[in-house]
Amino acid sequence: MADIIKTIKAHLPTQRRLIQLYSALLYNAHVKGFISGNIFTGGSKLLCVPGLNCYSCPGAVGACPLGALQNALSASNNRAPFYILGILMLYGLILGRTICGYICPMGLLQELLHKIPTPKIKKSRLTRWLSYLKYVFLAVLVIALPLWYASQYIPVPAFCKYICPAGTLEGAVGLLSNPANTPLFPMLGALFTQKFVILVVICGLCVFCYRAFCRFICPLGAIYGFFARANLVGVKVEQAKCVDCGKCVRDCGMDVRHVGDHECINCGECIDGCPTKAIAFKAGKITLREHNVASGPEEKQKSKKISVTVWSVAIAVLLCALIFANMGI
Amino acid sequence: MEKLSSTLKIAVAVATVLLLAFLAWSCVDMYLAGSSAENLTESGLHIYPVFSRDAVAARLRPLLPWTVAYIGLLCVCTAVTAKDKVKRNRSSNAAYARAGEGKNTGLVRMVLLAAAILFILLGVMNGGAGDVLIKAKNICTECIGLG
Repeated sequence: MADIIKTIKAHLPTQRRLIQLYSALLYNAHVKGFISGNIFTGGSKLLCVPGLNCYSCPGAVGACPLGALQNALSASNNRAPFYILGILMLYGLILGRTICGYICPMGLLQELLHKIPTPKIKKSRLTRWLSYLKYVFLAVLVIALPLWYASQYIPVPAFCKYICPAGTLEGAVGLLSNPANTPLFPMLGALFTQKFVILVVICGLCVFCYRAFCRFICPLGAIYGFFARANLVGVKVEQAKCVDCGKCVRDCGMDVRHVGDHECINCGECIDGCPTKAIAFKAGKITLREHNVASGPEEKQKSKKISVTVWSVAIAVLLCALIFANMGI
Repeated sequence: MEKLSSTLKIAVAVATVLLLAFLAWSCVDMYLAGSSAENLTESGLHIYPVFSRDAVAARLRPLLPWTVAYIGLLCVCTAVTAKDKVKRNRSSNAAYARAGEGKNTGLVRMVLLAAAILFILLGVMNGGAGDVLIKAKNICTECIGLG
């Protein structure tokens, strides 16, 4: 019995997993939309959520930053895309790829798929090379194609239209699974078939390869990766304590060269493995999480109080979002 | 026990690939059947829709018992492998563990923050924010595969 309890405790969701679930629910607080089959049309869609969450999902209460960027570039002959560029810069600066590690629903989905117990593909030089593919997707599908078609006054959000699995899963499957949207079925054709196959392939890859979409395809991760050296919140290495053993890099699931580079999603899994306790999760100069050090009862009590306060505020925010999105207040 | 664990993992891997392959194939097959010459009029219009709720349901119904079996296999495999030590994704890539903040990181942050706020304000003033809202309030037909 003690053995079973120990196994269950070892598999309880971590703080990071709870934050991922929380953010997925917060981004999709319009629960009524899944029942009615309609998308949310409230004013909060002016704001982009930090992670990849299709705005055609019946539950989405915010805009998708990647979709908004492509649409802004498609309309760039009319006006410069300052708003979305500013939003992306702000998110990148404050959080960077911590967004990928903590508050992206697609990241959560990939990690859950990876939990399916199968043999896994290890990272290698090939996966490191493949990780640069997302910059090609960013340059071609997110920037170049929309701009080129914009010059001909044809709006083409190329990544959303041809690739994005979030749109297929959250938007298409989310809307079409509701009987109220049956009239949309005859409109499905080659494009949906292509996107559905891509979704299935990506899901399959994620089962065998850790965060395959995040590492090799996601242009949003590529954008946030540019802010790796400047972002405020994330995993930081204390130079004085680091002995360059490379354990953090070897144990990391992403294709990092060093902790905190453009591939690092700041998940913090390397913190407890560091032999010299050189790694910590920081917000500027404030340490949010460091190596499991033995702390006194007073420290533990203080830490528990902070945790309870933060979670209480977070749940209050979520309740407000649920009320706002579902009751039209 | 280790042999059983690895056998189950391979079984789950094969089952996962087969399930996903069936889903993908069903979608492609429905599209090809609906786009065939038999379903097209002389003017190129479809006689019956390529995809319909009933057709999709008919395709997915046979999958149900296999999905239940897959979930059962997953539960068994998870129970058996639960105690397995987590094998770290070790790689032999050169590791460069050191990374640190440069001397000018603070300045770069301030400049980027100022630029971000300025861009957001400019975007609100030139109507870019309004465009985001208008696009997000309507179903993005390209995003969901309607073209």
